[in-house]
Amino acid sequence: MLLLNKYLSKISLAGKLTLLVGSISSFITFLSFVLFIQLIFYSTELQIKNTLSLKHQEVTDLAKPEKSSELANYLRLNDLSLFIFDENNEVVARYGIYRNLDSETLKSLTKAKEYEDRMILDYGEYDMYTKNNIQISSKNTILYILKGSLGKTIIIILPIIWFVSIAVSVFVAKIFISPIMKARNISHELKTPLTRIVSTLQLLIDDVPFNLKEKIKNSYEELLNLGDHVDSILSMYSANKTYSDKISIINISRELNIFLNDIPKTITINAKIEKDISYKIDKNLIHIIFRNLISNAIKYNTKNGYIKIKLKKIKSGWELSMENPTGNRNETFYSSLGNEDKKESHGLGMTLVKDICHSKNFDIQISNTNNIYKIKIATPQNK
Amino acid sequence: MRILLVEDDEIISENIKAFLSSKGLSIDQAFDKKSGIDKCFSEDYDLLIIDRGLPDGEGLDIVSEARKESINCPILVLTARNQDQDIIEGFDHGADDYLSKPFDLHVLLARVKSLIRRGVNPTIKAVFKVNDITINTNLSQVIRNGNEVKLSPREYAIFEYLALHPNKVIDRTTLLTHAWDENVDLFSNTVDVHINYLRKKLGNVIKTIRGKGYVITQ
Repeated sequence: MLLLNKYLSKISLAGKLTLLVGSISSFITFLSFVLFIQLIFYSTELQIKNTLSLKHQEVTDLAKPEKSSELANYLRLNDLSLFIFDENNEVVARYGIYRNLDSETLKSLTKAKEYEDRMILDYGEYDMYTKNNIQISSKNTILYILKGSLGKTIIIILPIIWFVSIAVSVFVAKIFISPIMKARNISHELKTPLTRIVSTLQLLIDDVPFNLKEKIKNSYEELLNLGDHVDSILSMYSANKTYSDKISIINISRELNIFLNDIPKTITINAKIEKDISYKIDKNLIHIIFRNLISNAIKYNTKNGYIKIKLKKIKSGWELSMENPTGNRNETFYSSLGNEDKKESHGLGMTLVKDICHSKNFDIQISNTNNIYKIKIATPQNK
Repeated sequence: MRILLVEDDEIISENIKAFLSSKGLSIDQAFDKKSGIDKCFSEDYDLLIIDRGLPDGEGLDIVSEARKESINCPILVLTARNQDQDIIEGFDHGADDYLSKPFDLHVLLARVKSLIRRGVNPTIKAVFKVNDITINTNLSQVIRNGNEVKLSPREYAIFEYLALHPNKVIDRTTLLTHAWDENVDLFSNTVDVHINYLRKKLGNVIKTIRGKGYVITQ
């Protein structure tokens, strides 16, 4: 499965769609072909059985000593063999192949079902119809009938099935591609205004006073990063494998330290960060988690409050714990992280954190004791 | 250097034009695929900058059309899609580089300059010397004897073009084509006027070849 995923990730989207359409249409065509052949087979068998049943009726009517020459003519004309036996399964009369069969084989034939096709040594396959101790049989012709049907099926029916299956698979492919196309359109819709703003800010930067320059520069750098975040978020929500190519091994410790360095000095930070914890993930998603958790911890902190942050290595990867006092924070602040049903508006940021954690199967634990909020995010155990 | 910019968003297009023009590049604009293809076939550009999402189709079609018609100038693709697959598609169509939106205009300038340099002469670096004059193409800066010589964007464009083609006589029409945008008056003496300005600032580094054009010899 891993190998297949690895292989699929190297195929282009067009290739994947071709593969998808090809596989689905081939599967449908093959299945339809098998079903069709089976249908022909069973209908032919039924036809043979009905024909033999009618002939058996006629043979029964002719199976009288005074009509023996008529019976012989009938059997010859219809290419039938005849076998009549008594209550003790002893031979009364036999015609056609039955003449050449030994007594043991004949005995076994007396136990045949009403309609049966049976392989008779040296003679091939025969369709047999047995009723009232009279058995007639004719050479099995189903293969000849099937050969004809097969030709017709391949020439007429299969192209129709193939055409329909292509239409069906294109429809399925459209459903498959829909989230990818939507993600692309959303990406385009979001990035175009971002580009407008970024380029305008860059043109303005030379005309503004020095103290504003730095602020504008920070803003456009943040906007530039936002462009990357858009892709990562869309990738996560569209579960689109073509968007997952940003995954790389990143140094989680270093990324967290970068965020902590940017925190204003007005708040006390107590950070214990184990060095060089690496993890394979889209860097932008980790940035979104860190930024939202830290900015919310600052925003909803008490006056002269603190933030305790601990990042440690665990067997499955890493575990991040954060703790901060929350004076007047709503009781349900972090509920959106843990509870799907509660959709209180605490900004998009925390919902994104929740969704990222869910999509990556991270464990989230939240607790609130005496207005001290603690969050723990850990990589999944099976990683 | 003359660039064709095919970008449907007017604000982005105007911002790019304003920024690149201030760095001595001449920008012609097209706002859709059709006019992009028309301009690309009718003018001689040093670089094409093409946005992928155009109102009348995929920008990469312009790249394919240009390559089919043997237009070999470098092509930079702008895209709101920056996944590997989208980038590969761009290269497969014949693009030389890509830039994902939103982008830093300085990064765009650096890519543009690098592509133009590579298009002209792959061995030339971003900062190179012609005689005693150093040219920093990334900063559009000209330094002589350790002092920066202030050139107007147009003067810089003419000087950079001549410097990128040393020992090659460049006629007036070629200079007009590569250092001015589509609004140039082909019958004016603007080239001679600008060459005179350059000589006043840089000395007699640009030589006139009578009846043929101008050359920087090394």
